[in-house]
Amino acid sequence: MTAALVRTARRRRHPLAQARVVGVGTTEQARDLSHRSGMSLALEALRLAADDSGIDIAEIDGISSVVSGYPYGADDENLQLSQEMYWMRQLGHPLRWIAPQRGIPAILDAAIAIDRGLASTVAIVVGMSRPADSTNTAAWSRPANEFTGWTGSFTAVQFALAGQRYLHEYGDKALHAMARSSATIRNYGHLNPAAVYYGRGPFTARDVLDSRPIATPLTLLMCSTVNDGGCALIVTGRERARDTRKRPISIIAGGDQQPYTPYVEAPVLDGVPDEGAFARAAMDRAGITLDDIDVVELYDHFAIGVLMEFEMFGFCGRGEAADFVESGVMELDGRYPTCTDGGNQAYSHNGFPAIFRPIEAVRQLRREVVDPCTADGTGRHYHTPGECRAVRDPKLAFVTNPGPPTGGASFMVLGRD
Amino acid sequence: MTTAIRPVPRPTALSAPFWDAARSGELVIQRCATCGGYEWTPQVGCSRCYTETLQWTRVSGQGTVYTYSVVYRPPTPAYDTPFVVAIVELAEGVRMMTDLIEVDPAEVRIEMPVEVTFDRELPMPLYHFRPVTA
Repeated sequence: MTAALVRTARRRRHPLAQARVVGVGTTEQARDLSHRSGMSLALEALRLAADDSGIDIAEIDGISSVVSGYPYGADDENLQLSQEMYWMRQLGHPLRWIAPQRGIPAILDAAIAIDRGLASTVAIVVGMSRPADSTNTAAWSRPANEFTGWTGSFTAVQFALAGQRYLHEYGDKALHAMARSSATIRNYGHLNPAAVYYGRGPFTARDVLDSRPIATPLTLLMCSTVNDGGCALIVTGRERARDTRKRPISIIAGGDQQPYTPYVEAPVLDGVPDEGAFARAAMDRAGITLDDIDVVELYDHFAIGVLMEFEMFGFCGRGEAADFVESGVMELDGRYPTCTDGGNQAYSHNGFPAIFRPIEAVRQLRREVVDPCTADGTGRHYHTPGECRAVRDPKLAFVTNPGPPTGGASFMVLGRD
Repeated sequence: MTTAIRPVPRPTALSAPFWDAARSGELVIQRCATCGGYEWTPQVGCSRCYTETLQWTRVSGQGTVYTYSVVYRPPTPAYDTPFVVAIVELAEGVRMMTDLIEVDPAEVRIEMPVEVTFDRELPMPLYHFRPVTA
């Protein structure tokens, strides 16, 4: 058998092989959507994803939900039911599958549930809006943060601690590489009409380094943006997917590893012997390697996170991420165009942006990307770096959800059959 | 407009001995009587041998800076900036998140020797680290 047939055969026996991503939807992403509730944004995103797929919401029998301010009136400390349990009422019909986790793990669990016949069509929904007067940093007053909160640490500081250690171990040149990675991602956002940072570039590494210091070594433009918005993604089975509107996208491989308890414990910066082994094993079972990947949607919470994810997943060796990034690998004409919608830093960070990563991957794989090329109405892309953000002929996308140092790194590979 | 406050640690039944010792100006860390390992943050069982023989043990209070960050953007206005958050590696091997005081932020270095110092004012004592003075 040829290598390609072997790979196909291994994929077909894979429990993820029976599922297809058939619908995606994103609302407006903007700094202040406080006039909308999280649930309103979630419902809009769900309607958009359903329209995108051609599947009626009535068919949805499984759900994963991250919605701000929902359910109304529930006291957090006494909440006995997961948020997903409230969706039966909103959807008006029973559910067969309730997500045990959120983010990429929920998509993987949904695919397996569909494979096993525990659900037929699952919606992953997110709707986040903050009150108009909210502050920009995560709350740190929970009792569980007894040994971290009092220090004045918050999310960016957790990553700054990792970044400072990284510079110590691998050299100060990584600081420029961090800035370059953020500039590259923000330049994709600059080209994305849906992005919070649309039209606000172009950015250089110097611009990123010169932006306001947040917590050394992180500057403002090395950090995620803060905004409101919603999104949704619909997964169904291979057979049902044949009768949907768009080209179904396959889930080729996926996995998750959680190194430590984020925010409660100080960031673990070392000690995990081979962080990416679980991902390599999952890809090997599916018969693929990173050589097969055409586009990368990393969870770019912070510039140091991008470098560490490249190392963790084996795109480059430990300590090699600075040179890797400086080689231009993330650019549209690079080997691995990365965060092609602008990512968390320039497209959207709505408090739970995990699902935007696979959504952008789906859009790239479907050849549905909107950028300056598409203004002429022909749908044709010219793939000129700095003017286009559509990857040329992508077949496999590598997608991640939050990686080190605050814990958790899940990934999935999506493919255009 | 509410007055911004710093998060105040709330001791639990598990962590109470740590905060009691801090109130007396002592740094204590759990040590496993079965395997000898130190445990931080406070746990019910040892994360190496899974027995429940952890005992609060006074430690030297000495350590080095494993990493740090000079923070310019405060999480609440109650913090004066810049301030320094750090992870200190104690001589006993465990790493604690903390802040660094009595130091110019520009002079903080990874591997810098530091020692614990306590702020024992009510309502809650706090532990900080400062450079070791020769």
